[in-house]
Amino acid sequence: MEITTKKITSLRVEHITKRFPGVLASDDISLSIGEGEILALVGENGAGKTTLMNILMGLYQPDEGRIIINGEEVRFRSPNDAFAAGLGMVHQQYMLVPNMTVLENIALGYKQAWSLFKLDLAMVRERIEEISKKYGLHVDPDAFIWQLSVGEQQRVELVKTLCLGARFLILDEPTSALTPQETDELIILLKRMASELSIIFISHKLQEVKDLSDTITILRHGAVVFQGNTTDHSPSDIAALMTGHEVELPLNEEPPCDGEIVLNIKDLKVKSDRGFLALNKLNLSIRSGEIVGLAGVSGNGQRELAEAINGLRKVESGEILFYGEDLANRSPHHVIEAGMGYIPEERNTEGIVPSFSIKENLILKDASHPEFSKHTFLRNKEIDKNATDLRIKFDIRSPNISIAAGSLSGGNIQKVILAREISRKPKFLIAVYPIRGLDLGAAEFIHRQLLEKRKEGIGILLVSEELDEILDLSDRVAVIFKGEIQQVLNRKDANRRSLGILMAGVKDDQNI
Amino acid sequence: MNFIVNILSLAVPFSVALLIASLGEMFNQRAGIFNLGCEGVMAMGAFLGMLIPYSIGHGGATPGVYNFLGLLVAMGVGALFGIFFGFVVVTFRAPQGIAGIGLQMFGVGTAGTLFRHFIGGTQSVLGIDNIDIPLLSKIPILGPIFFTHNILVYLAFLFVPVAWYILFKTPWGLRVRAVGTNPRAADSIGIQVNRVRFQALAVGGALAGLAGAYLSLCQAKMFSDEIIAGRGFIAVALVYFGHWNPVKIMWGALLFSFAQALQLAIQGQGINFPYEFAVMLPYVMVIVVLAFSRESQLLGPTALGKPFNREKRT
Amino acid sequence: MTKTFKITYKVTIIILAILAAMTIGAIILLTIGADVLKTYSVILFEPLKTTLQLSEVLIRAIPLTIIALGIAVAYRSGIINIGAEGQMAMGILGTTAIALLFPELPKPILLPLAILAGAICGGLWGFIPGILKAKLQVSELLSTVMLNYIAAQFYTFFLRGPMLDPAESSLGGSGTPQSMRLSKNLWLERLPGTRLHTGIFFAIILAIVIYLLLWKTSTGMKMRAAGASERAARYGGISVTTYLVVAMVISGAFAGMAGAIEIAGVHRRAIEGVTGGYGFSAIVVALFGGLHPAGIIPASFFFGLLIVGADMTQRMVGVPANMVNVLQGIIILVIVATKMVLADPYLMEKVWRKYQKITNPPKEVEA
Repeated sequence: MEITTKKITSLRVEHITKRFPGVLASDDISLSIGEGEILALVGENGAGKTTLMNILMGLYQPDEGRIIINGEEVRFRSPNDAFAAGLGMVHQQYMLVPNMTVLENIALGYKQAWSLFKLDLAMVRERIEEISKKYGLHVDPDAFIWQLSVGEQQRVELVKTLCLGARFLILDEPTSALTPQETDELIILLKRMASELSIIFISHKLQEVKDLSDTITILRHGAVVFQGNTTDHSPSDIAALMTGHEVELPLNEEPPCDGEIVLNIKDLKVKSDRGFLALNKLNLSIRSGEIVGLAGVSGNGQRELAEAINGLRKVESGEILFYGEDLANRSPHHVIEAGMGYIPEERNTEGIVPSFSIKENLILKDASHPEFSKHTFLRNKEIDKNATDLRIKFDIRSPNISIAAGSLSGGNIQKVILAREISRKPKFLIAVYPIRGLDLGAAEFIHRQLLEKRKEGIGILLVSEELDEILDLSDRVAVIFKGEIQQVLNRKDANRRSLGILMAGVKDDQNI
Repeated sequence: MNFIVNILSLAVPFSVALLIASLGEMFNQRAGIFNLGCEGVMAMGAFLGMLIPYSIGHGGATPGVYNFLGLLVAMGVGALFGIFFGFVVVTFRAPQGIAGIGLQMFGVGTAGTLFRHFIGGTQSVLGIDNIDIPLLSKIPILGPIFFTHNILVYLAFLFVPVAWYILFKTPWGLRVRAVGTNPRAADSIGIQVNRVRFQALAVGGALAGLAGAYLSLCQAKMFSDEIIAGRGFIAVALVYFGHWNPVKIMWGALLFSFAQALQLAIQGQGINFPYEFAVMLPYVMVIVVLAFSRESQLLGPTALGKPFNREKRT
Repeated sequence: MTKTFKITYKVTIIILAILAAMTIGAIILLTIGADVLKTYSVILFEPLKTTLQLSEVLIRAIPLTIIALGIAVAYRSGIINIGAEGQMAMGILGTTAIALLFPELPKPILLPLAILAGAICGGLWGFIPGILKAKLQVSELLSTVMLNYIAAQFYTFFLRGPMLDPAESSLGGSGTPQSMRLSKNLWLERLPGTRLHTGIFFAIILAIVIYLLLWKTSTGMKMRAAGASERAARYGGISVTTYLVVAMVISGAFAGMAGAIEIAGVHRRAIEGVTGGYGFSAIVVALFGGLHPAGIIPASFFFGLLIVGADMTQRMVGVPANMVNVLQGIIILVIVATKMVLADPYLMEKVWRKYQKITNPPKEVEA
């Protein structure tokens, strides 16, 4: 397809349908967007937003339906076709090659600079400068991607997309890894850019949608359930349409507790995979019967903290006192036996063995316990009974207890993990992003379980990047930034604004 | 002094098969494909490289042409093997480690079968002669070490900077590195990941074939079932050792060939050291080297060994 | 999707895979001008024609079964053992050493002791790549291959040196490096008139042991968890590195035992070439048998058949015996590719929709 520089004055998709095995990811979707407009595409996780955009970018082929640009039907067989038509997308997970420089990453898509034996990097550099100036987006062309922060990487993505000639921008959850303040900056930038470009903005954060978009399209289970002007509708209207039903997530309304301190982390130093200090003298204490929410932009040491406590990451220095015993650098097995429960971040690869059956996954941590094995031989009857009971108690929706756990939906996988962790009667629970990507029904179930455990006197460390989740459940909120706890707030002092400022690394509110 | 010069002048040509094969494997791995079948492709190359001058060129007036043809055929079939491997690991996304063992068995088996049919027993060829470069070869010490070899030796070392340039300075090299590190990113801006991987496999296969032909035409001047003797696997190890960088790989190849030359020289000197232990030396060295070369996570192809599936949503 | 469709789909893919494998083999056979069908029929049926040949097939199936069981344990635990050839050689050395040192021991003591020595030596040879992988992340694919070459040198060193048959060195002998004939107290009983030995029962017992270990014990479950998802196993408190080493030791010990049984049953002395590629063939056997004892036993019979059959093609149709390596290589490649195709729900769904479009008029699909 020839590269055109014509403006995109209108883009319509009509009756797009796309099926994946067992899922109707896009169900007869139609939408349209005019010149200089900002359309917000809203929906819960799994509603089919990203699939639709990948179709628009030529990454997936629709089973049915068509795309029309400036009144002409187009067919995108690959992303190249979409670029040529002037579309560009910033994916939720940045599409950058970490061991190459910014310049090389952009050259990778900038085919004008290619010839058989030579890569014209000077030409790419010029193009970057031109775009940087035009939109006020500064990037260092010679920096390696792995050296850049998340915010800088996003800027590189934007510059890349614009350098490749995008006149129509698709942004997939662009704010998910940004602090509230960085988010505000991005929104200002996008508003400015809208004078020259049309933008589709995917989000499930309603405030941003209100701030930024002209029109709004809501997807649920792959289908459009609502289209209209943003100004005509309040965030709560949109929320109701998005979920399809009124679900009130449970709140922690109990008075703050005064149990004894059961987990006391002192001056913890831990390195990241890349060898930097991910946790730098972190201090945090949690009482029995309280939920402490750990708020922060992802990548500030949350993963490393959870892994260090659970014996999965080497501790450089410091102590992890758990009921008086130092758990630093003990084996995961030892930590588990000490009574630590853990709902890890990646439920498919860390929480379960996908090819194992539900019943095997439910005893993964206890295969050698006398309850389930005798003289090393597994006691199949007990294992079956355990699984049958837990399946009912935790409402795990599956045909039976012998099917592979990996074939379940995300919510049911999370219930398997929760069932295992809770049925082991832990003395403490670490839950990392426990409801990420789940529908509200499953989220509600999991939150209720966590609150119930709290009532039973178990201490819980809740790691989340969703402030709502943290504010709903926590007794106290600790904010993590660059491997340190910025401050610990009581529930009554914590709100979006105060947390946002702390998450951005500002300790003293007075300076703002 | 003479002893050391001897070893070094042996080590330089010995390193060539390893060097060529490792550079081929480097392109594979940079594109994200771990090709353990290198050994098998080298065996095919060694057989074909010899077959052409042996059967067609037998008694021919210009053996040079047939030698050259042998090299070309070895490269061509090597590339075909690479593409065939691509169908298994790229198209069908089979696990690469075990598939590589399959390719190795297939290549070694095929070379052995065809060898028995077309050549039969121990037959030698004239092969490619050494050239003493005028003047330069007369330099004391350096002359015999660097300037008394066959043409492929010079070409192989010339190829080191060329490979570096291809990898780091051409659009194709950029694509190769991208698909081996973050195939999703490459895909998202319109690079056809699997096509680039197939191209890299073809290049890697051709180089492995050439390396095999070098062994039969330049080094041994004959073919036998044991001619490769694990060099294909050592070449794979060298890529790790050299951190996917052509220059470092060259140093690795020289190090190994030095050990091999040393072993031969020790035997030649009649030093009382069990022959078998001397032969073990390079293999032991591979393990030691692998144990102490840390992979640098930031520079290497992080998608190595992982098949690409656009529609798989993780 | 109907059940009939699913079954038909899978069966079709398997048939296509078999055809693909045979076609690639046929290309090689045509290159050397052989009669393809005749070659295949010689390989597959000729060895079954007489009891003697059938017994030869079984003889080869014994080490294949034992080694493949060990490889399956390792594979299931997440480590690919290509070093069985070397582990078997080391096992033979251990067995031979015991038999040469204590020839007078009564059979009930010597035989188990010699087999144990084989298991220990093989296990040690498996321990090295296991510990290297666990502690230093050395790729087991490369280290086991290297250890094969090293073991081969050890083997010839001992056979030419300390273990050499005195008759060979003084009288010139056969010229093949070999040990003297081992004590009769080591010999396994044979079926009269054949070389088929009681090692076959030993192989079957080991198969049962492995079945129980992997699927009926908590240790086995942890090993399989470590292999199926290393990360999840680690998060579940399973010491993946420990089980990895244990699996490699078991794998090596099985290869070592296979060597011991082969010596005690067939050759009755250590001789060059005893391992004869069993270590590599067993990888194919393990994969072909679905990494499960119940599959490995028939699979080793099949590959025993291929090996004996390929020996016969040389005489009967002039196809070199190396053809068996070609077939083994193809079979590995085809199995690993086919497994992925069978496990791909996306592809199955695509085919299903195509199939529906062909069989049903489009309008009915909407409904």
